[in-house]
Parts: sequence; C-alpha cells; structure tokens
Amino acid sequence: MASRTWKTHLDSQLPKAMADEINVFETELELRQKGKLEEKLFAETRLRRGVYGQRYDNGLRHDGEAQQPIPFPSGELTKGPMTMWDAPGMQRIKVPYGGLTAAQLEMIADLAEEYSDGIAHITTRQDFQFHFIHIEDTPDLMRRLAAVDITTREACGNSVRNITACPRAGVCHDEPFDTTPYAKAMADFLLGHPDTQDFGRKVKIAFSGCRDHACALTNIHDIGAIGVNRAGKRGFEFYVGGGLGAVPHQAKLLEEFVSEEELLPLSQAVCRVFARLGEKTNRARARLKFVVAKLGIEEFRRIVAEERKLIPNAPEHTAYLGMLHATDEKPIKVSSLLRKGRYPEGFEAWRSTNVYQQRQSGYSLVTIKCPLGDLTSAQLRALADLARKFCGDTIRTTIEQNLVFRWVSNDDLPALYTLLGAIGLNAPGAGTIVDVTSCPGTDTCKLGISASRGLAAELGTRLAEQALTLDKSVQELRIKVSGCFNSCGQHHVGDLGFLGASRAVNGRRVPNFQVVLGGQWKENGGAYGLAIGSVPSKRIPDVVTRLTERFVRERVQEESFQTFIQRIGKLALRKMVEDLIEMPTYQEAPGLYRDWGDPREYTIGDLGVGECAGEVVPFVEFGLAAAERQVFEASTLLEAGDPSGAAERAYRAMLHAAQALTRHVGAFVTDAPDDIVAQFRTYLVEPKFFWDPFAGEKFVHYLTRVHGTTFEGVTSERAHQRIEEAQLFVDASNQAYARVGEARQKAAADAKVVTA
Amino acid sequence: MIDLQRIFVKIFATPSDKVSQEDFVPVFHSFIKEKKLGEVWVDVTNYAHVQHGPGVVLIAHHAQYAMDEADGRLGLLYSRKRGSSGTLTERFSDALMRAHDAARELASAPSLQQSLTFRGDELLIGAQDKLLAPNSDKTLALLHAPIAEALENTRGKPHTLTRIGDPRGPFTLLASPR
Ligand code: SF4
Repeated sequence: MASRTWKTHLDSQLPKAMADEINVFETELELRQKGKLEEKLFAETRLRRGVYGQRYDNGLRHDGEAQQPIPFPSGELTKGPMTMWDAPGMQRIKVPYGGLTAAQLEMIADLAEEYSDGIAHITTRQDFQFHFIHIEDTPDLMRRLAAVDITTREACGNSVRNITACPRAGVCHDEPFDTTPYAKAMADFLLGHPDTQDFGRKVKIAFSGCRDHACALTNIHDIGAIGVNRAGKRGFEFYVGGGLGAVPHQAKLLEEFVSEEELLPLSQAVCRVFARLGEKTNRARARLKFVVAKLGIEEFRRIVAEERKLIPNAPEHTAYLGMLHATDEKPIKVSSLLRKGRYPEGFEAWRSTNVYQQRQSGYSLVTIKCPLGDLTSAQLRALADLARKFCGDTIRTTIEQNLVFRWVSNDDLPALYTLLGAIGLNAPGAGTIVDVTSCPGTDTCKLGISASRGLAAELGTRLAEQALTLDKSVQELRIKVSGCFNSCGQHHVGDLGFLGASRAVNGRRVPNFQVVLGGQWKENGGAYGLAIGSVPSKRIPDVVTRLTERFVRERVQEESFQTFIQRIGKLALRKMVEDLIEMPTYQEAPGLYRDWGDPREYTIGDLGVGECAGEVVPFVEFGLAAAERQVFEASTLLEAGDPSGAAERAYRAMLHAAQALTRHVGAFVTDAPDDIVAQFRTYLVEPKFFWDPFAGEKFVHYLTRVHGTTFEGVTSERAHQRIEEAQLFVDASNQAYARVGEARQKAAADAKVVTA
Repeated sequence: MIDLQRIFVKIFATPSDKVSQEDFVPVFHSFIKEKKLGEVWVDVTNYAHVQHGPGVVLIAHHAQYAMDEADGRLGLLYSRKRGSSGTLTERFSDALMRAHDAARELASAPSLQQSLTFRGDELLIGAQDKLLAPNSDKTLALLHAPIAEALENTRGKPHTLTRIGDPRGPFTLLASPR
C-alpha cells in the first residue's frame, strides 16, 4: 500500500548531511534485517544514533515466579548481541546545553505520542528520551527531529555525549560571561569528528559559569570547563578525568587558563590521547578517569601538550569566535517589576523556590518542576504556547530533569504561574528536597537493580505533603537516586543519595538501596557522599525521616548537611539505620520482598547486559561496514535503472574501504581520492597487507582502474561488473584487516621474546 | 487507501473514588502473566505522577493499553502502534474490538471488585499519525466513512462523530450513539 512517507515528505527539506546520515542508517537497518550486517556492528551503529536497548530486550521477562520468553514475531532476529529485533527500545536525542525552542517542544510532543508511550522524559544529561520505540520507526523519528534541527547522533555509544551547561548561563549573577556559545561550539566541533570515533567508552563534557555553585557539575565530568576572565580575556579553567560510576573520581585541573582560541584544539588533543591510551577491552576501566588516574595528572598534562603540538591549527578551531552572539537570546516582553497585590494561591511559595532573578533586571528565570522528568504531549504543546507567550525560544532543560523558561518579565510571573497550574506544572520546590532526581532504573533500564523511579516518586509525594512543615535546613537538601552503580541518577553528589542494590535473605532476593550521605552539589559536585549501608527499598523513606529529623535536632548553627554527616561519623550513622537493615522473613513481611510500584516478587533475573557504551568496535570496522553498505546501495541504484550512479557508488565503496584500512595502519589520510589511493598503495599494498596469495594485486586494480575515470554513460552490464568487483575488493579489505592484526600480534610477541 | 497504522480508541470510565491508578498495576501485570487478550506483552509502566497523563500503561508489541487521564477524563486508551492490516474499516473495527475486550477484562478484574465501569454513551476514536491523518477537516472527510462503518459494525448502532482537540494533536473524533 503506497502511502506518503516522512522520507519523501522531509528529505528535500533537511540539511543534506543529516538526510544522508539517516538514509544510511535506514539502509543499515535493512541490511541487518537481511542478515547482511553483523549484529555487533549494527549494535554500535544504532547506539551512536541514540537507539538504545531497554529492559527485557533479550526476549525474556520474569513474571514474579519464573522467567518467560516474550514471543516476538521476528523470532530470533537480533539488533545486537542478546537484543531481540522486535523488543521495544529507547531513543535518546541530544539537546546541547539543554537549549530548546517552542517548535522543538512541539515536535517532541508529536514523537512521544506517535512512537512512544505518550511521555517524553528529560534525562540527567539535559537530553530527552523516548521509551518503547520500535526500531523500524527510528529513521522517521530522526528525520522529524532533524526537521527542527535536533540530532540523535552520538547520543549513546562510545562517543562524546550530550554537552551540558548551566541552565542559567547568560542570565546568572555569578558568571564572568555566557558559556552557551562555547558549549555549542564544542558540541558542533566534536560531533562526528574523526578524533572522537575510536573511544573505548563515552566522554561526558560540561560547561559551568562559576566554580562555587553547582548547575553543571564539572567535577563529575570527563572534561569540564569553567568560564574565567583573566586580565580582561575570556578563557576556561579546564578539568579532566572526573566521573561517577562504581568508582567515582573528582576531576583534576589540567589547565588553569585555556584561552577561547585553545578551547577546541585542547579538547581535541584530550580526545586523541583518550582514544590512544584509553582501555579498549575492559569496559569497567575504559573511562578517561582511569587514564588520568593511572598516568597522574602531571604526565597526562605532558602527553596532552605533546599531542596538541601535533594538531595543526585549523580554521574550525576558532571560526565560532566570530559568531559568539549567535546564541544570544532576545526577550519578547519588556522588563518589568512584579506589581504588588493579591497573588494567586501558592504563588509566593512557588516564587521562593522556582523563580530566579536574572542578572538582567526585570526578568526572571522560572524553573518548571517536571515530576521524574516526565512530560505528556499535551503538556509539551501547552508549554510551547506558554513559551511563545512569555519568553520565546529561551527554554532549557536541566540536569535535575526540569525545564526552565528564561527572560520572563517579572510582572508576568503570576499569570505564568496560573497557566502552568492548568497543566499541572506549577508545583513549588524546584531544587529542594521534594525535587527528587532519578535515573530510569528497573522501569526501563536493562542494568537497573532497584526501582529508582518508584522510590523517587514515593519520596517526592511524601515530602511534598510535608513541604510546608519541613525545616528550612531540610528543604534545601537534595535527594538523588540511581538504579545501579552506573550512577546515572548522580547519587554521589546528592545530600541524600540512594544507589540500587540487592540482598539475598534465606534464598530470596530483597530490593535494597545503598545509602550514600553528604555528597556535595555545590562547587560543581565538589565532594562525593559516604556510603553507610544497604537498606531494603521499602524502608528508605524511614531513613530519610530519621536523618532529616536528626539533622534539624542536632545541627550546630548554620552547619551544612555535609559537615553534619562528617561530624556524626559513619559508625553513628550506620547505627541509626541498623534496625532497618535487619530483615524479617518473607512470611512476616512479604512487602519488603517487592520493589516500589511492582507487584511481582523481586528478582534480579531481568538484569540484562548493558549497552551504555556498546561494544568496543574498532573504527576501521565501521569503515568496512560502510563500504559494504555502499556496495548494497550500488545494487539498489542499478535496480532503479541508474547504472552510472551504481558504478560510481561501487567505486566509492572501494575508496571507503581503502581509506578505513589506511587510517587503521596509522597513516594520516584526507578525504581526497588521489590521496587515499596513493597512501593505500604505500601502506597497504606495498607491505603486502592488501595482497592475495593467488591473485596478487588483482583486487588493487579494481580500484585503480576506475579511479580518476568518469562514470557517465556506463552500461548496466559494466555497472554490474563494477559492483561485483567492489564486493571482491571489500572482501579483500576484510582479509587485509585480519592480516594487519596478525602482523601486530606477531610484532608484539617478538617484542616480548626480545625483552625476555 | 492510506496505510494507517497508529489507530486509537478511548473508552471512558465512570469516575469512582474506589479505584486509583495504582490499582491497575497488579491487574495489568496479571494480564501479562495470564497471557490475556492475545497480545505479545512486554511490560507495565506507571505515569500516575503526571497530571492528566497516560496513567498506568500496559505495553504490548503491537499496541499499548493505558488507563489514560488526558483532559482529566479517565478511560481505557487502546493505541495501536504497528501491525494494522486490512481495509480502514477493518482496522478501526479491530481497534474497537480490542479496546472493548480490554475494558471488559478490566471491569471484571477480581482485585478491582467491580468498582470500575465503562461508559457506552461516548468514546474517542482516531489516529496518531500527523503525516497521514493530521487533526483536520480533510482527514475527517477521508476517515469519516470507515470509522462510522466500524462503529456501527462493532457496536450495532450508528454514531454521531465530532472532530475535537488541538489541531497539533492526534486526529480525534468524539463518537456517541445516535
Ligand atoms: S544508573 Fe544504572 S539503572 Fe540507572 S539508568 Fe544508569 S545504568 Fe540504568
């Protein structure tokens, strides 16, 4: 049945590069369905486009008594190792520095409704993500996002993830300058950059406008840049090697002052060093923090400096400096004072927590508290309307899973408050104890151990009920929940952090949360919390009550929660929860053997294999797979009656494979066909890596024969021949890749013998 | 004919103080365990914390069943995502039958103790497909006949159809028996 498709509808409207990229992904999807693309490669390919697995995607689900197979219609077809093709998945989209327009909100609303479950979810990295997505829908979803200038590229996988920044950037009282254009420039520069394609794991980058306040948490990032002015010149304090996860590391200062001109090339140098020296096989130790810890910051600094010298200065390092004002925002309303008078009920409480007076007088930044980061399509459309009415395209997401409207004229605040109330989004308490942050946990994440969202919802509800009576010192605390040690909920930097765990009691499993106290949100995530013990999930609300009550009772003057925790000490804190750790039998308290919001008896049988970073696939393999895809595309072109196009595509496939191999052996090769062919000869053909024991250089000639020729007027027969040759060339390239590997192994073994 | 996949039907429930969203969580889990309604079930997800949201949602491979509270009106929302086939009338009929089957199962779920009843006087029917079926009069002209026919076939009565909702949102008809 021929219907209009998003492809035909949007292709000509999208930037060519984005349209091509999505078309390529669609072809790869088709190839995988036909079994012509290896599952491991396809998995990393889709991850790099933000298409991620979800819980139960191995085709198994525990029903509380036993694990049951999910009889997906496509049977055994997979989209990655142990990931069934039909299993619904998660689609993450990138929102650099959290910046959004009203039109983008409307698009997110449409996609949530059509392809997901009616909910768009804000993540702790200022992204949006959708759940329960069919993989076949992802190309259209990407096209529609591209139509509003949003990419999903490198939203997951071993790549540079969404670059985050303070949502107050540009309107904050503390910053020396607006870091927004720098965050944007970094995101644009590193997206798809060749030096960011060969990582062992992901790289997270954040920009902050100041050292002391939180907002961007640069200390927990692989790369963190804090804006500073030195002698009237803009630059950045540049940090590296921070990270949470099972082994949290505080970032180390790499450079006290990196000029605007050096920001991008220095980041490029760090990426190159990470790609070269980072762990590639043991995923648990593959983040940049381990490289920095192993080498020490001094040595790491030296290596980065050396690397920087090797990077020729390029126009793209500084081109953005001429467009620093491109991200400036213009208010759509004139500034005003909030008139005194009768305000709507609840307005004052909301204003005290959710409204921040901007540096620009007469304007406010309003935080819209989104419960668990979730918004419906109707809410998103209404928010787009409100943005158009009050602040224009100045919307941002926050790492606390909220939205902010900037540039709201002060006298509009009561009206905005009322209208937000009509869509259930005027709850007070943003950035306080009732505003609990949580990762997806067992709701949708394959790695989730405990129901972080269930716990967060429960705590949020209970605390909101008591909000008015809570002591001010308690209101200011922050709660963060992660479903497992990967720490996506950033529990290490919460005053009260909870980390999913499980315990065995008399042969049964009990959902638990490790209690982590006294993490520091301020100073960019300046200190990590102290673990005091693992408590059954259902008893965590009691832990919160006990700790907060004691804090109010025993707090010395203006003592912070962190100082209080340190003063009380781990032993005494542990004592406070010891009775809660004690487990009754299943018969006595079956409820403790179930997790929040899940009536099934708790099990860890649904834990899957993580895809956070995907498999580590050497860059060359992507190149060879792309060449394979181009051969396939050439056949499609021929079938569509375009022999010239088919012959040219077959030639491109060979060039692509040659370039990938040449890069793999360490040669620097440009995209120019002449350069590729010349270097390919030098580095692959002459050393006889690309050489067949029987056919000699035969396959090389397939490339050299057509290189530099024109494809116009090629007959179908000749095009067919070219496609066959290209296929043989790509096969030979795979053999050459294996030969290079063998040679490297031999060289390593010889070196060992010599050393011995 | 257009290849419309994402068809929905919402059967309104009568408000009752005796049922909360949380009560649907174990019921939906039991649908999975007992392999009810002939779907390939995947999971249950809970959005009760969102105002006027989809509530508790039962996810199947081809469709979702939500105790939806959009516009403050509780109802069983059946949303087909993939796998629709046949004529448009057949597709809408299939969605109507599946929604009715699910509503019947819910209303008779032992744990809800018959405190949930569904209304027969009106329902929503439409499509979540902005490309093929935007919420416009043009779509109404295109889909009125198959939807009217599907309603009459499955519910035994002709219905009055009124297009409602945000033009940016899904194509939505309020249907009430004449
Ligand atoms: S912390 Fe663990 S459970 Fe939570 S989203 Fe990350 S990987 Fe999943």
